Amino acid sequence: MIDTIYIEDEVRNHPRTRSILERYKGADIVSCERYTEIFNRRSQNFRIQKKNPALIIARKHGAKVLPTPEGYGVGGKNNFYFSHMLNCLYDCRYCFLQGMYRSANYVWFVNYEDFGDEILKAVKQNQGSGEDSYFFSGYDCDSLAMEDLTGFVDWAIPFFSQVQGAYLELRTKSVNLKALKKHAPMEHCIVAFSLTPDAVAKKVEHGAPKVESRIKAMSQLIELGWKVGIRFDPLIQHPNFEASYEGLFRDVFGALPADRIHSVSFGPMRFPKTMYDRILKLYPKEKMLHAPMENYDGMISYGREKEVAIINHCQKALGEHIDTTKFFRCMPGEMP
Amino acid sequence: MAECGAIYWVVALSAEAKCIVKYFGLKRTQGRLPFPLYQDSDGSNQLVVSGAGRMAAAAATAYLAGRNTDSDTAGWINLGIAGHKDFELGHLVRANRVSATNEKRSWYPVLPFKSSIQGYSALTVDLPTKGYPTEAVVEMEAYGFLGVTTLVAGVELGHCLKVISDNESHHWEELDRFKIEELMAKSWDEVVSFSEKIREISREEKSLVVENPRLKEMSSRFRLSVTQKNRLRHVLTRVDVLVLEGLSFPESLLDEASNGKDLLRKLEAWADEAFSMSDML
Repeated sequence: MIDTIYIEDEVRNHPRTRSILERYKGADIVSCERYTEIFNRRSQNFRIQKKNPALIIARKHGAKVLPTPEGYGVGGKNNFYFSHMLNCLYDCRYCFLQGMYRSANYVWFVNYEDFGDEILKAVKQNQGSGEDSYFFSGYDCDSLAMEDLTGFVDWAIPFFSQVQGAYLELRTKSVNLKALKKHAPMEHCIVAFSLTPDAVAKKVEHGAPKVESRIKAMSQLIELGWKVGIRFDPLIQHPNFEASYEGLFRDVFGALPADRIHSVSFGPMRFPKTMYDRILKLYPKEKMLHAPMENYDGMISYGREKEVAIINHCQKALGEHIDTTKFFRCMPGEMP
Repeated sequence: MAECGAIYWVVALSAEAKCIVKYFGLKRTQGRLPFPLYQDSDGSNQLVVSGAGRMAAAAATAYLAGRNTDSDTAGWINLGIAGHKDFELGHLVRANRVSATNEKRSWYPVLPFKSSIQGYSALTVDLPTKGYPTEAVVEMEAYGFLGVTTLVAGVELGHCLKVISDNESHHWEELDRFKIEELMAKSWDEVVSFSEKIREISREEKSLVVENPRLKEMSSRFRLSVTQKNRLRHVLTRVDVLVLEGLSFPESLLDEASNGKDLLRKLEAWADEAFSMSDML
């Protein structure tokens, strides 16, 4: 439950702001000129703020749609991401957001229509290539977790339905399907769920729905006709890693028809060194972060050899369940 | 130094300090000090009386911060009186935005827990005024106080609590020491409850930054460069995580190591192996 809401003066009377204020009448309302006065300044502690995050309602200025980092995609050549929100309801200890932002408050950009304009521009620019454009919405937040508050899906589905040559990926761990169920399944929308083995999820995905519930939610969406993606990302090393992931794959593909899965992607756990140091400083007693790691070119990972072994094993195990043409490795640089 | 969380209080007037001094049993620190200073036996509550005005508040806050090595993990509370157009006398508010005349920047203290104390904007002015803005309480110290605590302890640990002492019907000229003490006492229970929540955060923060005592021991036994010392600090944190899981500290490595470099290599190898054999989660 949000009890503090910061509002940029510029969006104080925006219809989406007004609708939230109607719902959170008891909240402490604080006005500000720009959200950057509150969000991500120096002298902020992500871990302390995560105890009781506030909502910051803002207008996104500047570039709203950006090319994805290298290696990020599910088959398309033109890949972009956009963030209607910064930060996430859940508290996963491997998440890069905790190292990227100093603040854990949720920033919500209400000017969806401006995002829409930039998405149209990007689609237009790439039309000549004859390739579809992919737009990933769950990069800096969970696409669905705060849907009751943001109404993002309610805007995005009708919007993308009208755009030729554009795919939308909603990346989530949420099982809140209410908003999706209100709409007819959209051909060019992938609802992608992030999954880790249950033992991992229980230890490090604080506040996220159970893996079992996520699989059920995927199953429901498939029945309704939605395209579903699976993201085994990041792959977390632990004892009996092989058996643990094989078990997860069996659970997933035992419940979901492989031919109805749009794509499966996987990638190793990696952090830029400065980000890793920051996360470790926030959570010095977090065991997962103390696993043997290597620093290679400023990137902290399990090490090249282990990464290759992990990825190769997963790829092989997944191949027993699903067509390998649906595999995508989310990994920058050369592939093992 | 307090093992539990600490609260450092900054007030402008001695009348504002009375409840704090009495409740926590603070004693005045003797000697030639730039500001009157009070503390309890273990230093977990310390109070400085700054005098009126934002410069005085900033100076006193910085002074108190400089006297303590745990200022970055302490909770900081500026308790004082404030005016408002029509709030009832004795009403307590918590500043959620603090601005000041002639300043562009505002401070936004971040509350890491739910509180029943009303959040409200505060405007720090340089002179007492009878002109009350409609959407802020008016006071004289918060801006200076937060300017220092934000730098020292971050935006989550510094907070301003203000008791309404004057309004359009009761002007500040009517105030005296006794009235201020009476007003402060009205809200004291809420202030204590708030301060204990901040203290809990302070305690948690303190527990995360405690230097491993083995670091000192090993640094004196082996010659280590600054980089090696940082590596040692890191590996000791890893070892501590394993010790928390029930493993015994590998004491024998200390005797086996021929020098600092060798000690680091052995400790890191031990930690890597121990982690690989644990659940790693």
